[in-house]
Amino acid sequence: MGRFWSILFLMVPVFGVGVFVWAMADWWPMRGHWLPENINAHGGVIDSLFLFILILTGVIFVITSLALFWFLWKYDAAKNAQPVTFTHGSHTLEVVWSILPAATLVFIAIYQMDAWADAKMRRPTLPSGELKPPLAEITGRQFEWRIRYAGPDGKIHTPDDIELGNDLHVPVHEEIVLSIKSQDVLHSFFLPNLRVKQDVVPGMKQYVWFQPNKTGVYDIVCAELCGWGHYKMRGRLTVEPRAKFEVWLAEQAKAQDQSEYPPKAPGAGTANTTAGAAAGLQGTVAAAP
Amino acid sequence: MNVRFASLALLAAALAVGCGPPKVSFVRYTTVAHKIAQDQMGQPEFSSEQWRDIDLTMAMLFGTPDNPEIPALEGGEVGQMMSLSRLKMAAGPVGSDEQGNPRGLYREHCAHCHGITGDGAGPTAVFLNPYPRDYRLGLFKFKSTPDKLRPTHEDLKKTVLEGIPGTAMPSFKLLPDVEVEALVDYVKYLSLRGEVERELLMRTSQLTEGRLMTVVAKAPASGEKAAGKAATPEEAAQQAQLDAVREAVKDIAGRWKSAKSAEVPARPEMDEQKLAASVARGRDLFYGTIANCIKCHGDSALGDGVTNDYEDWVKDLYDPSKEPKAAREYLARGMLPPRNARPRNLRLGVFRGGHRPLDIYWRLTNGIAGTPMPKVLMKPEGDPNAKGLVPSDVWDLVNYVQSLAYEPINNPLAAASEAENLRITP
Amino acid sequence: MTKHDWRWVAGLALLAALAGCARRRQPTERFDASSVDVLRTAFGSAVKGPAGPKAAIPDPDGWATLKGTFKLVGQPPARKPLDVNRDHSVCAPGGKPVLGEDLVIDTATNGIKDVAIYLIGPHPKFPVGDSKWEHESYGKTAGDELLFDQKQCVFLTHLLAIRSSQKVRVTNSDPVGHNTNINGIGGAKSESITVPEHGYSMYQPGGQSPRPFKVICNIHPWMGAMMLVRDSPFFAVSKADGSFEIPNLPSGVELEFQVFQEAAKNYKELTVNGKAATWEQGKFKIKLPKDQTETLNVEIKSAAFGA
Repeated sequence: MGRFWSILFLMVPVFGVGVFVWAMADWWPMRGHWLPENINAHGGVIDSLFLFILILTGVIFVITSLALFWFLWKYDAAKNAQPVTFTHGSHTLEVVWSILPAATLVFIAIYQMDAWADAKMRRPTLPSGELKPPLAEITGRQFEWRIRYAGPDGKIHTPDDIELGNDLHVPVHEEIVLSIKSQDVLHSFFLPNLRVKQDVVPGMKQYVWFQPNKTGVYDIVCAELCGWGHYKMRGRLTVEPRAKFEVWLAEQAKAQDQSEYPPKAPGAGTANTTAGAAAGLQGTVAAAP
Repeated sequence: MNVRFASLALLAAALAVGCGPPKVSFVRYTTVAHKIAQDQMGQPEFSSEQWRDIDLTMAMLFGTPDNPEIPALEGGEVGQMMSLSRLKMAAGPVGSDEQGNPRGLYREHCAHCHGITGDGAGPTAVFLNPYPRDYRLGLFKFKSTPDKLRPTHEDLKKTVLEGIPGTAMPSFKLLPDVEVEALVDYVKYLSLRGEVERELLMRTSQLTEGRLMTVVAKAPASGEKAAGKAATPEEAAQQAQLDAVREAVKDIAGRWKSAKSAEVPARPEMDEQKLAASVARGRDLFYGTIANCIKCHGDSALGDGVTNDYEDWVKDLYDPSKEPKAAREYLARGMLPPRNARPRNLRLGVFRGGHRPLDIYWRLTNGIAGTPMPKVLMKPEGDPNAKGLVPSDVWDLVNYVQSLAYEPINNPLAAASEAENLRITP
Repeated sequence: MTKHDWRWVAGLALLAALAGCARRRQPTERFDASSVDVLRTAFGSAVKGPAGPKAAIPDPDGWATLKGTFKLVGQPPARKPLDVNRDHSVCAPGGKPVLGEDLVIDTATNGIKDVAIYLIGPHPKFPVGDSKWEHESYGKTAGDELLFDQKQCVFLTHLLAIRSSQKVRVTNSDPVGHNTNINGIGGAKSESITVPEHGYSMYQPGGQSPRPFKVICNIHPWMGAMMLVRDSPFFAVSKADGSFEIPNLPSGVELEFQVFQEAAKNYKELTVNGKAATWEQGKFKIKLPKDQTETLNVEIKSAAFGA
């Protein structure tokens, strides 16, 4: 045992803190290991909570680790011939270090209630006061995300729905509501850049909502081990201006309704069914998947 | 402490030596070999010399999983099907080469289900329903070409891009286009390789001497060729054997070249009223005796009509209705446990080959290769009294089939209100 | 302490050995890489050197006829009843069992029905239309349409042999729909098509098949038949009494024939015209003298059918 092990234990807080410092500063070898970019208007509070808890627990962690190191070093048996003395403990110390953490935890619990309610309970409403209907229904299945937009009639689960795999587009600067469910086993719908994560439970229909305020291409990943293909359950979230989103959606509706082969030239326009008739836009690119 | 450290060091060293990317090689087509050997030669297996010849010929033609080759035919038929640079991107261990081009795409994305040899029996295959495709039969289900013709390049690319909903085949739309093309080429390569191996096995079984490639003669030096010297008997024999192989490869590659998409007549334009009428006509056709849909898909389109049939990959090896015990011989040689071919439950709204009207039209008029699904009889030209469907009938059927998923009878509780974030299923 | 440590070491060593050795054994290749390179170069060489003297096929000197019978020796195996599991009113009227058709023996003559005999040599590819090899009488029937019907859920022709230039009119004389699934091989194309009651579909093979192939119905999976498509017109399928005849065959050259019977496992122990014979893989060679009729009376032991 001895001093060697004390040093070893000292390395734990050193490396622990070092890893976080390197990651937060984006230094090599921890480049790209810190929090992904947050583009959710409501996501800031999640990050704040995370940092607050990290710093609080980090400080306590460092203090206790240093204390452990100090005691291992000072009272090493090889260097310390004094007999052991027994102490009956300190009642005051025990009260202090029970009450202080309890108070802190209660504070955190109350502080985050608003954030929790915002993310899980207060679904966005329309100006009329009704709950906002979902833009798309996301179904997690082994091993992909099936995405289903409502189509021109505005209702999901009607014949004009637009079905896609792993490819989710949303308009920027708007409150987006998605309904999520699972087809087979537990998955977890995770949008890292939007700080949205919700387990999808078979038999349960849930909603998630967010407001993206930056365009770009981001990841959808599965955050609940669901089988051998869990690592492959990656999708792509594209945030784009509303106009571009509408054009893209119309293209997908047209592509879904494709009945000619080879595909017709752009601008020809076909209106074969209600979906095609409503979604056909002049001048859209002929979309053949 | 010394002993413990030594043990830990030993363990670490041994595991380090034992780990690393495994050496892979193509698997022999043992199931078909057993069948051919039994049927044609009356023995259970090919001899090891016969296998040696076949392995040698296959290595010569197609290379290895790390280094693929394209058989060089005079007409360039195989070169038109696939490009060596793209095959090289798909082949080999996962990584990238000096230029930064990816390598090992097939192994990264496909091999764990489809197998290194494209036999549909990778490590995860046995857990899947339906099983992954075995490319070696040259049969692909969802394509634009009729009957059992080969798919076009676009057909395969669509399957890779879109995935197959309702199965474990994922969508690879998020990959760059050049990588998707490499994967499609590699699928064709494995399919060609599998069909050629089957053909070489069949030819071996028909040879009186029983061996495919006995002669490996050194090629003559260029000087001798120029002088027009006559070939030695050894060279002539080798040439004859190579000619036979060349012919086999040419035949099989020719099938890929000649596969053309079926023509699709224009779909009649319809508003809501006309669509409803079309769906009604489609329903009559569905239940009628020309298309015979309910015979297999069931009186309620739930796929419960004929449920004891098998797909071609099973019937190719043995007849499950006549000799079910033969399954054991093939299971021992790598066949996956056979399952019945179930007709699609059309009320689910999940169409594996794609739910576009075009896709369903193709399924109806081409059939689904390798499965019991036939194509519908189209009215023969020049015989107006003959029975059969016309294209507008098929579009009516397409409309009906697409409407099945949304019939109210499928979902009797739909009218019940859906509470939000309900923790208990209604 | 020492003894404990050594057990620890032994256990770890065993674990390490297993981990290191846990590679699945692939079959080792029995050829060396240089053979592969030599062959690949020879395969790809555009310059095809003189391939050596090829055995030239002599011309035939006239025409002859081959006929004969196929008979079973021994106890014919019982015909197995088929599993009729739908459309019983049409397919098994009166509840009568439907028997398999793969081996049908005539009780009176012991003749074997549906034995195919077809020309496979000397040409690897038969010269269609060559007047020395194809008698002019066959020219008239080159584009014929043959009937392939099904009734009471049985294919009325159990083995249909046609030429690749001919067509098949697939019909359905049943009050229920069938789908006729033609699993063509070789150059004969595959087609699976629904055939409505009293409807028909035209099948055009497009090329020849190396051997007979299966035709089934997926709606009624117990149904089965076979088809054979050949470029040459020299083939026959034995009738119910086991007899066959192929007229106007080229004479004076060695011809090779293939015999095929669906249920036969081998053709090793035959009696041909009274003498014991073995037809390896069902093949035999014969030279027909000009203007003669050669008779082949073949007897096959019932053991060859797995009885």
